[in-house]
Amino acid sequence: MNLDRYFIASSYGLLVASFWILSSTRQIDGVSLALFFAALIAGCLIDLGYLRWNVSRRLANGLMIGWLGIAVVEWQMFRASPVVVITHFVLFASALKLLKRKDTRDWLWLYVISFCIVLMSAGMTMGTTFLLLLMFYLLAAISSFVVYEIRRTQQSFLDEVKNQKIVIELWREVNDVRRPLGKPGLAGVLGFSVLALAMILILAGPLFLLVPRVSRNAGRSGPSGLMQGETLSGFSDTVRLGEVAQVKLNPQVVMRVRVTYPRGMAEQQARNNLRWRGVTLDRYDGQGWNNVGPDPTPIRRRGDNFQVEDPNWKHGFTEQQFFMEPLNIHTVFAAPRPVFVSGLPELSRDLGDGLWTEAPGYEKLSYSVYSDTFTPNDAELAEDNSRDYPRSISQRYLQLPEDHDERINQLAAKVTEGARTPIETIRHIELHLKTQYDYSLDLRRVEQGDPVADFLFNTRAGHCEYFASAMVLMLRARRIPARIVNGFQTGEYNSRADVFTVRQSDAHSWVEAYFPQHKWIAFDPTPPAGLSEYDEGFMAWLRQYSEAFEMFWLEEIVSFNTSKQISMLATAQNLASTFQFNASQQWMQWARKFGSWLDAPPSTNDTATGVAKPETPVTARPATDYRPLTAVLIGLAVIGLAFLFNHRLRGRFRSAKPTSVQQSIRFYEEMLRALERSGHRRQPHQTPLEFATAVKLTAVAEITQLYQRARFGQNALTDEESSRVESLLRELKRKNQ
Amino acid sequence: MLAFLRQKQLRRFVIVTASLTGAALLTALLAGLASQFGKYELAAHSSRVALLLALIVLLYALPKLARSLNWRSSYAMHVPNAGLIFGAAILMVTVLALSSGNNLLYLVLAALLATMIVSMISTRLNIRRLTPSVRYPDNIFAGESVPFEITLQNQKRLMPSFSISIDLVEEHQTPNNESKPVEQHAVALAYFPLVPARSHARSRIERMFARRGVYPVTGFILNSGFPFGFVEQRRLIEWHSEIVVYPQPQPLKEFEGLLPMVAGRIENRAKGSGGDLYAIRQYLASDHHHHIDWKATAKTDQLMVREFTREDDWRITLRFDSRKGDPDLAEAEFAEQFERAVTFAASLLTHYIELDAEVRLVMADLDTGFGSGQRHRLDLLRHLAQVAPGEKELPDDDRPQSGIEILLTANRNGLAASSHPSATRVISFEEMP
Repeated sequence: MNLDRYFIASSYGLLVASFWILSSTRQIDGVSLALFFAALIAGCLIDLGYLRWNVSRRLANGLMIGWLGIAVVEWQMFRASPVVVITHFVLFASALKLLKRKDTRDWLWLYVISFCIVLMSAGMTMGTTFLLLLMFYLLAAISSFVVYEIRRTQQSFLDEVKNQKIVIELWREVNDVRRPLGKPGLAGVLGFSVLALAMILILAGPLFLLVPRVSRNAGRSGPSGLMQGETLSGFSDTVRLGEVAQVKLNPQVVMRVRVTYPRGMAEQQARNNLRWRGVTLDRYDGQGWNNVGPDPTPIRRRGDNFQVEDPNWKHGFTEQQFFMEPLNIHTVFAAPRPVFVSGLPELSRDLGDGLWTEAPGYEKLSYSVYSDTFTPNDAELAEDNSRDYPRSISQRYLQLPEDHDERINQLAAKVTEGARTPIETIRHIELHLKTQYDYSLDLRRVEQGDPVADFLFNTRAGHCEYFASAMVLMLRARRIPARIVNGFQTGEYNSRADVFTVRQSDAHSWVEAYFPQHKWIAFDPTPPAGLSEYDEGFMAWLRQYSEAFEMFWLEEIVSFNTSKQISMLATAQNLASTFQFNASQQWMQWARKFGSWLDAPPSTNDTATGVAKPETPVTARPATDYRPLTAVLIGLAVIGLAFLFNHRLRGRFRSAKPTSVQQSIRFYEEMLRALERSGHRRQPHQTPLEFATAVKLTAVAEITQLYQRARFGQNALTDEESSRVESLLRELKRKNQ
Repeated sequence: MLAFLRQKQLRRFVIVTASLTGAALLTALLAGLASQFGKYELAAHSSRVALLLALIVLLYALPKLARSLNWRSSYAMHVPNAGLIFGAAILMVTVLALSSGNNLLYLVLAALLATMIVSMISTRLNIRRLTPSVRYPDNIFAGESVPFEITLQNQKRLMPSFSISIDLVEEHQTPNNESKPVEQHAVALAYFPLVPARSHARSRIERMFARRGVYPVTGFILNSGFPFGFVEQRRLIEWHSEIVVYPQPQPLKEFEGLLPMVAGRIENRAKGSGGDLYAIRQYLASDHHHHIDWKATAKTDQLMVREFTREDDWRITLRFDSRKGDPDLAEAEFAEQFERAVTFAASLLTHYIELDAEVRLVMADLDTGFGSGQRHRLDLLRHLAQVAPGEKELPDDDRPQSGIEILLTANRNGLAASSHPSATRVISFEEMP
């Protein structure tokens, strides 16, 4: 592959990388991407000579101006977001540049456009694919720029030398033997590109951590309006039966949750009780559920937190850290009975204890919740058997629709026959539904009318919404306040990242029943078949690692903000202080040992016991023996001074003859000095022989010959020759005085 | 050998400094500890010794460091337009990242900053440990293309060098225009896209020097914008030499009108008793028997004698008067005339030397003496390459006139007082075609 082909390949690699980054954001329509990809292929074929298209500059300019009009229409009439409009325009401009034979300036424009695409994509995505594709983009960019620079400089040189044909020879000298090298390939360029990429990545890490974050938005997702969040049904204040089932068909990740359990609570038990509450719905109209009542009430912030409930410190709190994907809903998910919430810009609460926020749906939210997840056992609940409910509770949560099917009441009475306490009633109904009905996502109906009645008496199969709805209606029939809760199951636990990964397929409905003392307690009538199961094996292992990386990406990169930066610097400072402290402690120990050596008692002491002999007064301290230490110090100083003066001493006392080469240089220089006095000055360009010829003195010629032989030849001067040189020099000096 | 010596010196310097410094520090430490534990006398002695050792280190190390430091760096960095654009891109991304707080933009910014750092480091490393050399012909004539061979040695062990441009820094002073300052310019010599590690690269270009003169060379400039062209590193390597460009001799037919008599005298040179063989002919009664050529006689079976040229006709003295004759003459016009005169002189010398004449060139500060052969010719051309207008008169010639004398002068009215009124021909600069 020659340089031109390599350049085309790497440049198109760069463009493909930027295109790939853009398409990975999933914010641009497929048609635009497909057309641009087609333009990429066509451009490549044009540059390789297989296509002869060429969009002229005038035509391109005209088309771009025309597209501006289309952009205005797209923005005004179709209400496309400004980012999408700009992206379409940029793609169109790139396509026009691609569909011609490109010169240097065109390539530069394409590089700039691709860079702009990468920047725009950075605002439209949060995924780890951005990082991986950015690395690929960098590699292609490095390779392209390297070759671009080589081509440009080469052309500039050829222009200066008027396009002479230049042939370059390469060789290597090994043991004075010349070994020609072949024409170098481009492996060196590719190798350098990879090495440069590695160096850039190594340097970029610390730079990323150290560049100061000054924006209040640091650590949040991105510029406003660039991203469109996923719309999730089933989590608003009106839910038709079946909406949650639709959500369950989607395997996309909704959120990741890291949980820290309170001390003393068994982890497995705690995990079993965990569900992520979303919305509660209290009113059933025969087709679906909705919330009646005023809008959610804002909760006042206290410091960094929102306090939702009065805390019961008895059982401790389960801490949950939520990492939400961009969702176009305002529900704040949390484990039951949230007490404190932090990390949200604002928070409100509805009458059904559901939490809401106004944060934009494009944001990748991250917040923390402290919940009291303690669940009393049935024995404790059995004692809470009062039927004296507050009016607000009984009005809302004993509601039955006007055309309520009487059979449900009858069924409820039959199923709960013999139950003495509310908890027994609840458990009977729960068990009945779990064991007597089948789980199915198939929404077939047998009769019109109340879908819950159809489920209970006809189909006898349904999904979690039906089970929960049936239980709520049956409980209300037995005069126990109950409500339906839409949320998510715990999700798949990823031990690598220590998070629960919650997907849309984990969407779930369950029931909360009211106890006067213990308030709302959750129950789940859905059979086990309706609970999520997670496969194991290699794919699960791979998925876990990829999600662990995703978590690292979200926590450490995407959410990196000023406080984390300060915390990182503080950690570094602490490490340095600890090291300094340990070092000084160690030094003090050494100093104490040295001090005790300085004060060491003389050898007449009984060193084994450290007790002085009676005839030696204890107070008299003989002089300490510093000789060893002094010897060491003197030795060091002597070594240094010896090296310092060694070469001079050697010079003074040297008796060895100078080498032949040194001799020859010396007498030749003496000759030159002598000749200079008479005006014969050897020019830099003159070889010794040329100079001797120019001077035309026999003595000079002879000395020069001997000089060359002694300096460059194999044989040293004989004694006679040395004497001859000395006499010639004397003669020369005498003549030239 | 020089590198090895340097390393040995460096090793010695490090050992000496480290030993003395270590001893000084330990002694100072001892002083501190002794003082801490009440051994004041020991502390005092140790302090003095430490101070003494520190002084020795200072007196030894500092001067060496000062001598070895090269305050003048041979490297220079230059930021071309591409680098400025890249800097603008960094600035733009910085503003976007700081204002938005988007960490992915920070990631892009970190990558851009890292790229700039890598670029600067790579550019510097790329141009290190490169040794250029150039070979060109000893004899260069104006107007003729000559090959320049450039060799670049990459002494790095592992790293190849990419995209290296080599320029030769030449000075040029117009020989007959002293008022114009010396211009220094870099001439593009070679471009090597890749020179592998521990290898040599050679390339050749043709250069043509339009004007005669001496072009002092002051060094090489190695230039590279590798890897991305955002930063260009230049390295000046000093190397002093000269490129001497001789005036280009022209065929004498162009100057026929100037010296027909001279040409005739030379072409029809008389036979004489000079040292050079003129012809071998049949013996005549008046010939001396010493001149019999026995070899030719044996071959031809006839008595043959050698005939020699007249020595004095084979000698040409060219006197070149570089003074400006007419003070009212414009400098540019005189410069043109001067150049034509130099070219004529070169053509004349070349022609006669090719005819085996002995030629002598006399200028204000120069008298080459008679000589012949190519070496002498090149010698004369070298002098003509450097000749420039001056104020000095031609020297008086005490030697008896021999052969033909030609005086080239700008002074048509005899201002150039030739010491040889019987010079064969005085040719004015104005007469040059």
